[in-house]
Amino acid sequence: MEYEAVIGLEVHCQLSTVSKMFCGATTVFGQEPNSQVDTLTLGLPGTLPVINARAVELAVRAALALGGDVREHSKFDRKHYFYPDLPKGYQISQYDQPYCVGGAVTIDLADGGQKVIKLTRIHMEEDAGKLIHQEHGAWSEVDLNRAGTPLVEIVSEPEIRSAAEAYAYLMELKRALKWVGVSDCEMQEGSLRCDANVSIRPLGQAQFGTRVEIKNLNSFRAVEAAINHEIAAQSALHRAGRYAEVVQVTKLWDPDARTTRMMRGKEMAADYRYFPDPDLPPLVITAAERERIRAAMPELPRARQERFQREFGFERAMAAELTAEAGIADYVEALVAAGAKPKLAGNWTREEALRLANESGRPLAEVAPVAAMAGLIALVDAGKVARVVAKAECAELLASGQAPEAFFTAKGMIQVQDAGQLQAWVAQVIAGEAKTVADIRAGKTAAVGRLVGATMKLSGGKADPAAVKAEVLRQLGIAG
Amino acid sequence: MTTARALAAQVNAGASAAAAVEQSLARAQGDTLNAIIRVHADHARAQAASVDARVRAGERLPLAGVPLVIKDNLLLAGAESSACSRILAGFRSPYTATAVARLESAGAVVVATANMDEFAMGSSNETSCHGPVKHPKDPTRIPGGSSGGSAAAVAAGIAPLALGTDTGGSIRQPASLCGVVGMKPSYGRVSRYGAIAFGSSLDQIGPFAADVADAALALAVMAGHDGNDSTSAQRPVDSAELPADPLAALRGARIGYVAAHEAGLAEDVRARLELAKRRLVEAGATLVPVTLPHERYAVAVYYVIATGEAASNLARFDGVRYGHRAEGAKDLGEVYARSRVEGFGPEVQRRIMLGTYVLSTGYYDAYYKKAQQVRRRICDDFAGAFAACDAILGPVSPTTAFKAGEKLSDPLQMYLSDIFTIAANLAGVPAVSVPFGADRNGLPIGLQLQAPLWADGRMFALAAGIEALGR
Repeated sequence: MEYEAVIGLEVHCQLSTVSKMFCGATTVFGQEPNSQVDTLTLGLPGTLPVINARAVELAVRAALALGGDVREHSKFDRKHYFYPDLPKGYQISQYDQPYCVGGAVTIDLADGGQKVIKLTRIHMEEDAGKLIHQEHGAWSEVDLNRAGTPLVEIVSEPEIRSAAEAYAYLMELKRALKWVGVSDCEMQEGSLRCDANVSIRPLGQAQFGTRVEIKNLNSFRAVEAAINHEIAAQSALHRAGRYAEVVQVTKLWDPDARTTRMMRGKEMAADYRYFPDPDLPPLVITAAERERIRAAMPELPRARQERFQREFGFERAMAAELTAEAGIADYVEALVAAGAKPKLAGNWTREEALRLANESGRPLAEVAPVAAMAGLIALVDAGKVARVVAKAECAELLASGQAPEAFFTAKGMIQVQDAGQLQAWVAQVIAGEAKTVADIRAGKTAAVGRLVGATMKLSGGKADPAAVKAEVLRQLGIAG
Repeated sequence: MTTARALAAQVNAGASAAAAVEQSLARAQGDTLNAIIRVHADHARAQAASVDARVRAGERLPLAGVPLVIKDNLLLAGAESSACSRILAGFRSPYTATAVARLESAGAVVVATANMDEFAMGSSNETSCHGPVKHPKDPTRIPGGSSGGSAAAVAAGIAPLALGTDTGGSIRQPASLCGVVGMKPSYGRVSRYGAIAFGSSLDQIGPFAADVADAALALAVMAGHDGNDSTSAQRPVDSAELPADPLAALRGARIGYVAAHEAGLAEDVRARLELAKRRLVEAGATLVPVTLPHERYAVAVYYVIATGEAASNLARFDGVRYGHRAEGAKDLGEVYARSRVEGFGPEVQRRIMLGTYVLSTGYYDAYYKKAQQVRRRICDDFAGAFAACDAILGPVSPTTAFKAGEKLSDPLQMYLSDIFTIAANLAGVPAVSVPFGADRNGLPIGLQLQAPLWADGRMFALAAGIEALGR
């Protein structure tokens, strides 16, 4: 029997604010435990939450980037549970009136098609702290640095059908959220976290199967692996006639053992006793405020990717790669604006500029200034510098800060455009390569390359390889 | 006893704040009512010296050198605050409540902390971990609660001003029973920042004073928006000034009354209420019968909403970060359970359990949500009544001060002590208890005036008139 997976993802995304969701404590990552705390973070008596306007603005940006419906009226609720990472004994979240309803994430499928994954909702909430177990003895320690950090939780509809789609969904989500400056989306630092709800059903069955929730997914690859693991486990039970053993539980992914272990069963499900937080007035996001934020939004990555395909003639993969981050797309467009043909701008960005940026860890425009890169592309495009030479010298040129033409002139690498000189070099090579010429005449046309190579060598790299090839063929009387 | 206004005037004219504060400290240290649980002598002397210095430097402060007693659920930086609960034993706040800070910057001096019902849960000041407070006029009786220590401290002359908190009558009821003025402001008028929360949508900090004018002055100083409390209002604050002739405000005033309030009142309380109404008419006011049809649900609604919010607010007292932690717990669950069982008294535990229940899945709609719907109706009732009158006059407490222990074992009877005061908290409207004579045993009787939301200043003007009629 064939099975279909039904997957929904809950993504927690940390908003890039300076201070916490409801107080002035700072949110710097990687600091001394309990250094990013104040009286509210500690849950001291008498403290009251005050909403961080910047967090709301970023949350609205996230909602608009994902096409959600930003509600004018929403509210904050208290979600109760006892745990040492939760200083107030409750988390401030949004329960039945989230600030954003709906939205969608469009993903590219392997077969070249697209798929739209709808969102159920996005809501704001504060993060909990962190427990560190038995690091300094037989006890657990509490670090409240993260407690109170603003989050949005993005809940997808159960429309994801494979681990690969889940991966693509997360990549697309990350691209959009980073793009509009909402979050760093660093899973390693916990600024993006994901829980997966996974069930299977026989292909063609409309009814959903029993869903298992998987937590502790700390990388995109972990999400992919855990989903595949869970699909395989549930399918195996179904095939063995033991599907009843799939029960609604929460599991933890163990990345080292690449397996899941039980966290809690349905009977342990907590009663969070949600109720509206009386310390916070209802949240009002006026249409004017929402539109002000929308007006300040950049062109979104998916739109830009599609525009690159349409206007620049990029293949989908290239368009996707060059719109992975706003900075890359801006760079490509700057090259085009500086006169580079779009395809060349795309290829040089992809093959050289991005590589240099990744190697150095510096920004694109710094490691490969637009003027220099555009100049280089123009020289190659005009046939003045051989492409292979340009690629070999690219890093040195960009590091030198010199103007490209001056750089290559100084190195004697400007290609010779003089037809008479070219004819002389080719004639000299043909005269000295009688055996190769005989091979070619005998039908081994691939040997032409050897003559071209020899001519390039003779010219000291100054000849244009395409022109050399044409001249070789012409002198041998072979049609090109 | 000298009023706060008179004392401030003397200090502003060169009298010593330090001397006034020494007198108050001595009285606080000599307290025999168990009204005071902590005296802040060092703090008070330093603050008094600072007031004297400011006055010498030319400042004129509305509360210059006025000794102030604060309820034990209001935070003062560096001092212990425990809401009279074992669970907060030894807790010292790193910050001061906004209301307290504003009074002190206007020249008031915190001299002592007053006893209270644990976490403000009680109407007799008998649930405190520091033991009960005695009534200033009869040590066998209770002073009312939960701000019983604050009311008794003003009645006994320890300080001219005290702060309390009022969630369902916790300022007005002890004020009535002790014969002082006690006022609950409009919800949002005074910042709750630094008040240990009980029922967040109901709690307000308010003043106790010997007369209405002092209470009005204290409120004017504390009131106003605070960036640390999102529920504090941005509205301008009423002036503390009252008409020079207190009876002037009564002429032409429309004073509402609810006929149903008279049922179940002790005979002497009803008689004083009737007398007040007669004198109001003589003073030129018009009496307007009004109805609050949903007020009879107020106690039920209150014990759902207040306990739900309290169970949530008190979740932070878990023995993990501060306060009492049980010794020898074997695991995390035991740390929580034992710390909380040892730390909270029986009344607080009862309310936490009630509140946890009403917020539980499957019960939320039937209790908390329904209670909020009825609360809305009560608000509408007040809006309707205030369309026909400027303020509503009525009783504060059905009886005068009752005997210690009389209602402690009967929570329902105790809860009914607040039957007339709870509706104002649910509706958020301001209300004040004004002394109006005494019963046949000499025990004080207070009358309540309730006014529309944000009419705190107008309410004080009318209350001053009633105060004058009662003398």
